[in-house]
Amino acid sequence: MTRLRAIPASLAILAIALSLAGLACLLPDNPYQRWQLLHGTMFDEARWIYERCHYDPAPIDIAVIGSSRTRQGVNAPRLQAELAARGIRVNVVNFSVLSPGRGTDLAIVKEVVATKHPRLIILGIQEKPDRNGHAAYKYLADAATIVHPGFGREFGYLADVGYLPFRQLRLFLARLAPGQSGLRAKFDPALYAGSTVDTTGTTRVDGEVKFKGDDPAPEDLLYEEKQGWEARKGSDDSLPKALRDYAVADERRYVALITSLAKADGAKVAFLYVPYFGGPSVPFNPQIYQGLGPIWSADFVSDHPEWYADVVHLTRTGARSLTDWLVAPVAATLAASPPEAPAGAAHP
Amino acid sequence: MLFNSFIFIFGFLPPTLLVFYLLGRFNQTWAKIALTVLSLAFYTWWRPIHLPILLFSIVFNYVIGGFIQRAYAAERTTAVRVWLTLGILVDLGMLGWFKYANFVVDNINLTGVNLTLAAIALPLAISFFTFQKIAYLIDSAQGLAGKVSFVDFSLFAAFFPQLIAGPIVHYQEVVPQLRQRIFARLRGRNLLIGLVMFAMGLFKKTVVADTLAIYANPMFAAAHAGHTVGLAYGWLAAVTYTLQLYFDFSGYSDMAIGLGRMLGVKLPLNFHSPLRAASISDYWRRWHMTLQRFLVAYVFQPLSLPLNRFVIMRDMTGWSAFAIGVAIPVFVTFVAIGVWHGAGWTFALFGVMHAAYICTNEAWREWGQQRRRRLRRAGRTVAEAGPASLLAYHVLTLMAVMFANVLFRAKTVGDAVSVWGGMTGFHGLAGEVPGFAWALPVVIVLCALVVFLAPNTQQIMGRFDPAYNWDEWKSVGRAPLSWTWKPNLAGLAFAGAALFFGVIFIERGQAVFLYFNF
Repeated sequence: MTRLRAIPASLAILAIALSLAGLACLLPDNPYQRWQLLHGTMFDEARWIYERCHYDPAPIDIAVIGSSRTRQGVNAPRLQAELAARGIRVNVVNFSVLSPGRGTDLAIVKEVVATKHPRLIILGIQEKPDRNGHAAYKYLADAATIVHPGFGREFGYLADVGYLPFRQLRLFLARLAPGQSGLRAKFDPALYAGSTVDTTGTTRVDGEVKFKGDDPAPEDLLYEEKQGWEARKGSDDSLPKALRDYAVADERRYVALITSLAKADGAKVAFLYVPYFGGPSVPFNPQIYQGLGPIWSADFVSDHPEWYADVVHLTRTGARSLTDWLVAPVAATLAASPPEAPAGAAHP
Repeated sequence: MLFNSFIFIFGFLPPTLLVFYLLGRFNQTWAKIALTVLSLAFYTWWRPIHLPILLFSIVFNYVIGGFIQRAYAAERTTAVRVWLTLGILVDLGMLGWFKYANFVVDNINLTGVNLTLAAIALPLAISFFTFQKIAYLIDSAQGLAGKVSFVDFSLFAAFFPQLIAGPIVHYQEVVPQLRQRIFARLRGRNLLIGLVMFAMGLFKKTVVADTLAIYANPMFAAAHAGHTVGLAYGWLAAVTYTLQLYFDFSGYSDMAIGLGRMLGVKLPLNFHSPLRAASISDYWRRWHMTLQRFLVAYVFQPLSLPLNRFVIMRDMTGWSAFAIGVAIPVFVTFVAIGVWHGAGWTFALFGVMHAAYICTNEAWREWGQQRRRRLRRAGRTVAEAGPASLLAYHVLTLMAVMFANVLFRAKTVGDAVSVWGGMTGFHGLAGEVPGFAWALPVVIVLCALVVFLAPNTQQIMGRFDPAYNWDEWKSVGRAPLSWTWKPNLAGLAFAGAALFFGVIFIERGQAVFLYFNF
């Protein structure tokens, strides 16, 4: 029987596999194709976000970025129209995506800051930051950021890095053969959704309902959901005291990165708090955001069951109320920081 | 827990190997107990509520097996029969209840009776571990399984590499290995060979089978949705699924054998290039080999022997002898194989189709033998089958397998009829192929080249005695292309690449192994 140096050979196999994984991470990709990876999923708007930043010449003055709460809560076209009615001609987009977690927000902020230099970034916050990372992050963020996000990420890091070799290999092949990959290499204006999109209400992807947000939930169901929500994650004391700070470390670090990136580009940052139905009027950890920007608490919505599609998301009507309320603080903030250069010709 | 999951590969396997071999340095029994507990944890991960069923099966069969062995040693034949019957009835009763009760009630209700039975969740792997236990009881009754400690028996019954989807192992294959003095002592050779086989199996599953699934699933879903199945569509669906099924289950079996080897246990082969078979009998000798040998040993032979005795005693000849001596045991065995896979008419008919194939094959063989005898008596020589005939045998076998696999995959018999209609040209040449991509023919050609020309996993690992029964198979079905793995630069690069692709393709989306459904 063959003589073997079995343990070194086994280690060599593992080392080769690991090296190939490392090499795969270095494969170049087309970022436009990367932002299409989630097409057809609940994060379908990722492609539009990239197209809006890179292929639409209209500037972006105000970008709303956050989770489903701000996605369902802020009607960007309405905000733009209401500001215009006050004589403030700006372009507003809502780049919030479903599901909480900050990594994707950072990826979006990077795109919008690099391409559109917005004047104001409104960052959605909730009573307790989610500590599990955003599901779309590993698909959208560039490879370098995933490998080295700028700090030691506590949650989801291994899962994100573990996905990278496959993603880069797929994107590399898609670059070579876009027709077979289903990922378009070039922008098609015919498929573009437009400069601003109303993200509130019911969301459909390819005709399939991904999120129901047109009608209010029955009130008794809402109270029942509220109890369940609070039992699961509605309080700040579910972790031992020593671990609480650790649990919000991702949020603190990401928010610091986002604000420093925005401010370095001359943008102001404000935090928009949209509470769940009957939720507290301020987030549990306001100290994370204090000093980085004002916190605008939309706590007035929380005792209006008729505005909630479920315990955490507003209906289209609720979003209209929140958007109308948002006009004043946004206008005040813009007034306090007039644009350095005249607004772009592409303003509506 | 799936073998093709990060939690298994990075979270379960390394600590299991570490704990097992660390304990094995000091005390073999502790290592066995630890491996048994970890195997039960592996099973529990999927659906904890079904753990008591597995535990009951282990304890019950250990106790009954002990009774049978003692009765056998004391030559108390009646007691052996009584305990064996009781054991098999309880095992089959459990399997029948969990797997077939809903099916039976649904079919009784078709006659107008209104029986109600809540949906019964199928415990993972019940078909596999039940057959393993029945084999143990029968082996005990035949004196092939001797006294065994509860620790050894528990490990034999729960050993995670083979627990979920086989290979279905016999007592005498595994327990003697567990009793060896070197068991639980780290041997780098086992780790290396196991790792390479695992990597190849993982590649077959996540890269090849799951790619084929991307194409096969929508095609069968479209047939189910009522799309017209044309000639091209029908054949694409059948070919794609046949390749998917082969790479999926043989990939799983390679992983199981590799994992067993990492833990110092050689498991028997489950696949030996069945798609290269030149007859349907040969195909079944090489496809899901451990299930086939189980049913041949415990269903076919016990039926065939008395029936053939009956035929001889009655001086029966010709078709009546064939019908009783061959057709009846073949049909019973293959319908058992069919319904073992699932409670449904598609599976039963799948068994009937293969039984018909086997009977045709046997009749053809018998006719050929008679013809050769006649020619010899007439003083003429009988020509061996030429290349064209051999090719025709291969093609015919493959086509028969693909036709039957359509039934195996289809949700309903109606769906299968629709795909068959396409394959036979009844729905025209074109039909519709929803979502057809030109990558599919390329994938099929590549897979076909591997299937027909390349050596299989055990042939690649042939110089390292890769499986328990390798000696029986090492000279069977040699591939046109030959390559054996060596731990040189090319071999290490091959294994490293297989592992790399196998692991990263998990991220495409985990798909359960097709045989997890059984």
